[in-house]
Amino acid sequence: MNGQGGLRLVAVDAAAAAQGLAPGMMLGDARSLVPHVHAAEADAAGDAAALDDLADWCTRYSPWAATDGADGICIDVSGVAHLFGGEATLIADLRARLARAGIVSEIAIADTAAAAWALARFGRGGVVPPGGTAAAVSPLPSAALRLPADVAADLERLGLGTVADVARLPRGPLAARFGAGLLERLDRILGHSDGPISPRHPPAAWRTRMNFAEPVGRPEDVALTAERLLERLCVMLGEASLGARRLVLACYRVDGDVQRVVVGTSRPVRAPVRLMRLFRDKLGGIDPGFGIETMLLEAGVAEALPASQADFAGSKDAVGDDLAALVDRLQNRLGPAQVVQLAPCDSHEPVRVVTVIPALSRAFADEWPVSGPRPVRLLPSPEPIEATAPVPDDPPVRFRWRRVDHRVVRADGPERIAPEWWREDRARRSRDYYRIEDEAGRRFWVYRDGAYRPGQPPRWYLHGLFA
Amino acid sequence: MSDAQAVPVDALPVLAALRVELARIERHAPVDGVAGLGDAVLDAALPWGGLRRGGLHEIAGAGHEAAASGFAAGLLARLLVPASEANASAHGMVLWCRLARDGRERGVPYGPGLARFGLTPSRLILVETRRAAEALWAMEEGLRCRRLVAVLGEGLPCDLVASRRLQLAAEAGGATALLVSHAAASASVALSRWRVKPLPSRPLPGGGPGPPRWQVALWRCRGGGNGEWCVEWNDASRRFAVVAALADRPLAAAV
Repeated sequence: MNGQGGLRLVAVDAAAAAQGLAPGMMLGDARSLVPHVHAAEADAAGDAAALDDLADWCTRYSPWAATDGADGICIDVSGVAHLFGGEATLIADLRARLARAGIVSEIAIADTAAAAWALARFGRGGVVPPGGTAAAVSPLPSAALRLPADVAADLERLGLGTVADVARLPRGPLAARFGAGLLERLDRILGHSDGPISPRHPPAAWRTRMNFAEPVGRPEDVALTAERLLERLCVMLGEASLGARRLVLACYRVDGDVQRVVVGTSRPVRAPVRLMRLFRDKLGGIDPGFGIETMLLEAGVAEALPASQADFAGSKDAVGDDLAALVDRLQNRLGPAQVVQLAPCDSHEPVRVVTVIPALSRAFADEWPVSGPRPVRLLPSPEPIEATAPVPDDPPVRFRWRRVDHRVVRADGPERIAPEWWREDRARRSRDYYRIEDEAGRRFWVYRDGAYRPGQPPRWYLHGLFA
Repeated sequence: MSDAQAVPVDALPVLAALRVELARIERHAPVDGVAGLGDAVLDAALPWGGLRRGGLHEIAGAGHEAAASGFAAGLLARLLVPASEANASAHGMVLWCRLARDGRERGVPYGPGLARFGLTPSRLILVETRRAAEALWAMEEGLRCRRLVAVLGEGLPCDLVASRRLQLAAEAGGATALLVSHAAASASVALSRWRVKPLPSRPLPGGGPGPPRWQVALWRCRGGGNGEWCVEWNDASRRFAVVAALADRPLAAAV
């Protein structure tokens, strides 16, 4: 329900419709018609989310499934209907499954999405044979063209009540009067042109599926199926000399929910055993609910993987694969950002000189630029210390860090590290770094922020710890 | 062992033979399973003549994380020295596991600093986890990987069971496990247990701090004794060196 000049009905169920209620009616009027009407606040976001989930579930029929408006789902079933025993059977199957979930549906299959949309809402639904679209949509009301409200009202006023009425008119004046949008809609509904559907999940070229006669729920069955699917997919990838970099296992539950598990690999892989090890860690996250009826495995990203690499076990590549397999396992369980490597960076600033890169993302290089003495541990952010230095340009003789006093016995420096002028960081000043050692032998990396200026107390920071 | 005292005397040779057999099965791998530390005194103190590969070793640096990191980095560098010419070309890698929350307090491993210990940062795979259990899991996984030379875990609470698991994984995979602990020592089956504390360094001619110097104590070692030394790390030769405590030798003599 929503208010404009009062509460209005947004949607009604079948029982309410039978009593004469209709969307758009004032709640007050509805109550006078049916005193015991049960009204609930409209939840547009909830409805949208539910429709989203439903569209997700519809990917069990075809990867090209998308929500369409606030109350529709559009599925491209070109070339997949035979998997379900033909288009008519597919509709019956979909209708039955939706009915089991308590969803009333109108389903139509036609040459174009626009025609199917119109037939589901204004026609009787069902399957329109190829080429029969124009005949099927002609008697539909012109609202089936799905035009903006003002254009639809104009058509109505001119007495163009059906699609056939509009289609009969010469195209030139029609476009001049109502805009090119009308012609486009007309072409789509008549099957002359088709609009694209943006799929919910970009479909992968490499996919394989398994349907169960009886829904499965035991983790062993899920794992076994995953293994079978992996074997199949790896054979497919092998024939194309490809390896998977990202795999998605989708489990379609009987209640319409879809559970997805994603694994990624640092290098292309098509060894079912290795991929299964990655999946095994994550299959526990799948909640089978009342059972899973379909499992679908797809390689979202596949890259070239020549046959030789996988086939000669024990070769040098196999050893490299061993490391890649380890990194994949760690990254899949802990997250890619938690398993990293360090790479030298062309900079002289202590923090910028090292960059963090995903593990094994670059070819191994044993060269590392030499630098001055550097600490083994670096604090993520330099911590201010209270330091006393007798001469402004000298290292401190004593300092206080984390509430502990240190007396400096040895010191080395300064090493001036200037900010890189090409960076936009105007506030940064050059730093004078000192290597200092206290009487207990602890060694620190401290710096004075900026050059000494008379009358201004220098600011000191501790940045790193030497071994 | 208490049961052994109850067996008849004529069974003793059998038992002795079994013990020998057990020792053979359990550990004492091929000769190249040892990494020399570069110093005769230290190597002699270890029953294997160096650091035993394929086992767990523990370094405690309570309050001296940087010193412990340096010592551990030195050990890793020694472990990365190829055991034989045959696999000299293989790029040995090291897995370094730590807890994310430790970074703020204790700092994070810094590549350029580790490079000075001969531990090329490209050879490191850094793992940062939220929970200690995840880090221990990552260590175990790593120890089973043949491409890893060593797996280091720092700041992880490790009880007897966890240490046993690491030891077994290390034995199975052949990689060396190093545990750098921040807390007080707990029960462990580590082959060797070390304590590291910084010592004032030998000053450079200009008065700056010299090469890192620590008080290194080997306080528990399976099948060996214990000892305590003043140890220095030599950047150039990438080896440990036992120096006389408080020695203030001229620079030329030390290098």
